[in-house]
Amino acid sequence: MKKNRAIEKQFNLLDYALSSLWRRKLKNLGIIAVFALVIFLVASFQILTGSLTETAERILAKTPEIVIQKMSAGRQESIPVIYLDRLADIFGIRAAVPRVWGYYFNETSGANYTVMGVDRAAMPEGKNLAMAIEGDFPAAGQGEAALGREVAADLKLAGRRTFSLFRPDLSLKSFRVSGIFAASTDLLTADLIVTGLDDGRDLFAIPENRATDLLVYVTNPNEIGTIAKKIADRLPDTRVLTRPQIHKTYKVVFGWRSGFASICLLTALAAFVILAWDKASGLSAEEKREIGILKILGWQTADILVLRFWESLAVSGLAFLVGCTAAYLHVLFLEGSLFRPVLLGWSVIHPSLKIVPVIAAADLLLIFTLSVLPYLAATVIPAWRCSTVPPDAAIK
Amino acid sequence: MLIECKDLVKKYRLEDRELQAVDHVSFSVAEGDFVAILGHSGSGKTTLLSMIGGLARPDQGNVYINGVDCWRQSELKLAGMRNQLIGFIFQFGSLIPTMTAIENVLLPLSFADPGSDPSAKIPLARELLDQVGLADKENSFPAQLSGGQQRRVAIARAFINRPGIILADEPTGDLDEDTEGEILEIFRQYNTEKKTTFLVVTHNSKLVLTQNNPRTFLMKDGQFSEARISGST
Repeated sequence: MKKNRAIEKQFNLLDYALSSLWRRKLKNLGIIAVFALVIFLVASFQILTGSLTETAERILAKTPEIVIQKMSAGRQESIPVIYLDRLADIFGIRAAVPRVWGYYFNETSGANYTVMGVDRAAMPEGKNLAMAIEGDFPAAGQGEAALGREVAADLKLAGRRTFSLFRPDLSLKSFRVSGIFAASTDLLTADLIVTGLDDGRDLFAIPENRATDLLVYVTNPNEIGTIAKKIADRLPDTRVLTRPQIHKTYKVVFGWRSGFASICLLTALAAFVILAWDKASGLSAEEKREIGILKILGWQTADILVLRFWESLAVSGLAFLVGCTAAYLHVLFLEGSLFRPVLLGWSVIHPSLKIVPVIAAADLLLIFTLSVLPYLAATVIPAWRCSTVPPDAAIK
Repeated sequence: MLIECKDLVKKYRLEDRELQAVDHVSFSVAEGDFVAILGHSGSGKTTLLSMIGGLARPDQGNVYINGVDCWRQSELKLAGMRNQLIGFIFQFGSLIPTMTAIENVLLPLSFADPGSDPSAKIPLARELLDQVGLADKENSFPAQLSGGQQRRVAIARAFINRPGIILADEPTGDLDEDTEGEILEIFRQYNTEKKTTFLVVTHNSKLVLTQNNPRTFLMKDGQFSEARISGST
């Protein structure tokens, strides 16, 4: 019976709190709108970062397990193809193939393309690579190229199937477009031109016996580390990059960018909470009088605190829900357009990949902890200070 | 005795000096008494009323209500006493500005009986508003009411829980003569018919004269004495 009365009392307090918020709806809607906006910004970053990392991981899962680059004086240089012979007897290597790649600056548009020449026939994942292309994979030695969607747009082909790029000696090399990369791979292929190995060598004037790097495919992914170590021992003048390391690099890049932006946004959140504290600690004469009247009519200090708690929870909880939902929709429908440049860069060509929002419970908990809890503290503690004053003093 | 005050003292610190607002006051009030406390501004009447009503803790002395030392109770019981035993009428506007007149009247019910349906008391709230002449103002907000009308809403609110004791501080201060007469008649009815006990702080001797067998006290500089009033103060 006593328990029921306590529950009924809580319902009464909640009812009073909600109607009290409703009675000051303009002011409270304003607070909710500003609070939701700040939470939206923070949540957008969290969701966008999670989504981009997830997308990168999904795409990188199809890339070679190990990449070998020759280093000289701390810089990368072309690698002799003959190095492949030294890897022949390492157990667990499924295939090892040369690749040429480099950057091409389009002076007309100011964009940088990444041009890659591969020998599809020698690559175990060649079939997967071909499936990522809408059209055909470039045939070897035929002057064909597959383009990332953004490159195709940047070249302004307008229905044409051919284009030309300058060799280092400024002579022109012509390409025929064999296909366009699927939008789902945009994160990695937006600025990419893939061509045959020989055509790549021809464009960059790389000798036949050299490549930009060597790609190594392993049989058992659990052995990547061991095999990479063996390769590093055999080829001491090279840098051996593993897929997990590249994963990590993406995570670090997104994490750093998102972290930097998050710090800025958390500062905004902190400013809002400080403002809420400042406002709540300087309760208006009207609010003080209301507390005094309620105490005269039989409320206790604890009731006032519970009332303020419900009010603050309703305001911050609603702002949290609205902010997080808006952030999800922002990433789902607008693909995080507000913050994409921050995370993907401001280059002329940037990926227009389709992002599937990824929400981690830990992220939501973090946002809740950094927004709702400080707001509760910022509003309930000053109310406690006021409600401990004798009621007759509060209404004088 | 319903209310018993023993040796009540209340002091306030005013910059460099100490003001003794209530100076060793003792008196008793029986159930159904109508007690008027007369005195000039600053004589300590309101402070005395606040101590009896459980709003301001005395520096010394005790207040017994129904034999219970109210300042030795827990905050919970003290709050319950304020809610269910006492109805307050203050000289200032004591309404919640964002609530309508009828919502203000119903406000004490939310804690009187948490399990009950407050809407069941709406007819009673309407009846009380009708008694104070505000039947047509139940949906008006305090800002839409005159000072006198706000006071009348506060009076209706004080009666909503059917309290045994009404503590009133200048209850007819802003009211016109007709409304004042109506309010005093309500007080008289509750006092004589429902045996509600009244402690009223006032300047208005008319308030005393309209009641049946009122007891009158005078307060001056915090000191208290019983008086006999006839005709005027």
